[in-house]
Amino acid sequence: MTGQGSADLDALDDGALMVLFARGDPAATRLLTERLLPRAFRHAARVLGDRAEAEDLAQEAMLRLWKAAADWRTDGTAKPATWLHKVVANLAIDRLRRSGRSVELGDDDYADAAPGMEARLQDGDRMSALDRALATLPERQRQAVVLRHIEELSNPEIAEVLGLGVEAVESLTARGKRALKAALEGQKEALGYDT
Amino acid sequence: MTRNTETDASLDALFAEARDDGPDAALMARVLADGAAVQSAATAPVVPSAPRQGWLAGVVQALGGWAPVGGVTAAGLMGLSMGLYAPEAVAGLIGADSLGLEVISYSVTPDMGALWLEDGDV
Repeated sequence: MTGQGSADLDALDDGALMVLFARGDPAATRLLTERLLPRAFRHAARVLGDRAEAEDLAQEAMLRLWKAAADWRTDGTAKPATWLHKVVANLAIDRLRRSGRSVELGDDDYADAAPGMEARLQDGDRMSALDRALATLPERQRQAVVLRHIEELSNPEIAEVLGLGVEAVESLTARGKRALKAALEGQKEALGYDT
Repeated sequence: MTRNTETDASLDALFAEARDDGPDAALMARVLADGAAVQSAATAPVVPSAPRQGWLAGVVQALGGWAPVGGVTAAGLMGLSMGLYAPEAVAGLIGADSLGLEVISYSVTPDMGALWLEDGDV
């Protein structure tokens, strides 16, 4: 099937591109990949803290998106980006738990990180420092901070991705950011901010 | 307060840097290939599968089709009729009289009627 012109497709939202993808349009495949794969990859990379593992996870999430295209409803409320972040969040939690890297879930999600977490940070590049700091946060705090401050999702969108209420998301992001600042406090020199 | 603001700015800068992170070309290529494969599978023409064959059709096919089965059936029916009807009738059917064939009837079982009767009494 011949794809539509690139300029025409640029104006379409992701849901419309999903319909075109299901009809076999290769240009829709490319555009959706360019728009959504970076989101999936960044989300996975920051939550997992492992680039190679994040690549695998992002590819798997995108494959699930492709397979879901045939049944995608353009009149539905779900947006492909939100749907994809939800898949990434669930796959990431599965991997963290399987590998034993998961920080305990529960009430701690809404609590500040334990004192002394910053001591676990080691020298490294800036993204590695950020990943290590994020890794000290409980899973949901970590996901909420990444989705809010890196992927710039709204709180209602994060609530949909994580299956939580909006108030819970507000609490998670506020506490998560505070804990992250504390974790990075001792790394200012390594991060190049100590002038 | 100044220190806190400074930390906020540092963290915001780190977040901005993280937003510039992205997948490499190899991952993009793999994802595009996955998409193309899913599209090919979804848009490939559907070839109807052969209908499931019943046991009778299997037997017929093993015998070479319906024509040989018809012949076998006719021969069987002929043999059955020859067994059911009296040899005389069969001889009449095949015109044995005109061929000068003598029809001889043998009884291979004893006369059951005689066994039931004893001196004319039941």
